[in-house]
Amino acid sequence: MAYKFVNADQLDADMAAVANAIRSKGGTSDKLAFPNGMISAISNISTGVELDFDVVTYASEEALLAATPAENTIGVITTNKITGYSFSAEALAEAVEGMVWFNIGTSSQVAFSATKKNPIMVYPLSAKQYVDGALGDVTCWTYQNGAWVEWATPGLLYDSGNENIGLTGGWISGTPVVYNSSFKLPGSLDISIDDSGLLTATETVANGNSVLYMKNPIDLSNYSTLKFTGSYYSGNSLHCMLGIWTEFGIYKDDNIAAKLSSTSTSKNRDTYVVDVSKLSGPHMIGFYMFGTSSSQVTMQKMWLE
Amino acid sequence: MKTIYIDSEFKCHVTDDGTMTAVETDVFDGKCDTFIEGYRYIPEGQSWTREDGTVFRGQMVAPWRDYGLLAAAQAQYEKDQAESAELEAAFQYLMTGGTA
Repeated sequence: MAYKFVNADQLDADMAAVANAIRSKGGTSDKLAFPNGMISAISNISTGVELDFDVVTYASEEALLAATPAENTIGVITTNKITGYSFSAEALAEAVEGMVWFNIGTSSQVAFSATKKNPIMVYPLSAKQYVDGALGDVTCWTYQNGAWVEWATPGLLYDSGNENIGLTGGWISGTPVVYNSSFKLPGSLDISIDDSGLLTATETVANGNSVLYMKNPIDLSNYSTLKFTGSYYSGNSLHCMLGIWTEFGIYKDDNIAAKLSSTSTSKNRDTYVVDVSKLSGPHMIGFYMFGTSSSQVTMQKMWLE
Repeated sequence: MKTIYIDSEFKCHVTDDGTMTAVETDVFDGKCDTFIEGYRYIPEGQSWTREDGTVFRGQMVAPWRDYGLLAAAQAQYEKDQAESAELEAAFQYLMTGGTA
């Protein structure tokens, strides 16, 4: 066996430098023995992007809630096999049977990083699966911080205090439109929510204009009916309405695609419905109120079918 | 405000064939005939049942034709109206000897 004489201090320094480089690349702080420890550490260094989530199917909500998977597991409730998936803000242009489209936005109650290192944040909103030639809603949950968190519920716009923010962006009030060129005073809504989650909104400004509406436009594609349980009333049918706008214009009827106007009986709590079967794409939805005759809206639930 | 006519299915028409009900409304102000006739208007106190059994009560205004088609017709109408207005203005300008 041949021997070589080396500078011991230099060798220690060089070995430390190599070990430090290995630890930095491998994301570890372990002591590394030469040579086997270093060889092993180098072998474990990831050469690509390491994803930090998983997609798992569950046949039912009960089965999902009974499971305790790894953090950032996305649970999709479906009985159809998932053949692939895509995260995007637009629906799949081309899809194969079983593929899931995860719709993403700019905020979400289930935001997560898709990667372990160098975080890439993803903000899921909802999901659809391509089954029998069409995209249909599927319910998703994400396992975060040791518990399941439900994604925005498709089609749910308000339910007893739950604003389904992932879909709606929340309910807000303002004056995006006015009655006409003569009556354009901004209004102010007095809004309260009782213990049952019943929301009550009342215009407080005489001749004031207000709209109680969802911050996000709502995509009405694949829905035929908008339903709402509550009441909406003004002494004049022109002064209070449930409106569906393609976008807000200047006046209350600008760009109105469909609407329910206040009637003598809409003061009664009931479930009211609007035909949206011929509407598709994003629409602004809300209640327009003009401040005369005590315009008032109460809402327990609003949803799409 | 304009008068429109609704048939037994509450579909809107711009002329009455003798069997329809007249309705005064401002919801279609500025809208072309194609747009108006693509809508359904259910007056207060009345109801309409869709083929799937869902009952809709008045006072509801909603399209029965694809809204995209109606919006396209309205957009063309507004474009034609604007061009006519420009032509009319140019004609008047010429008729007045080019004076304002």
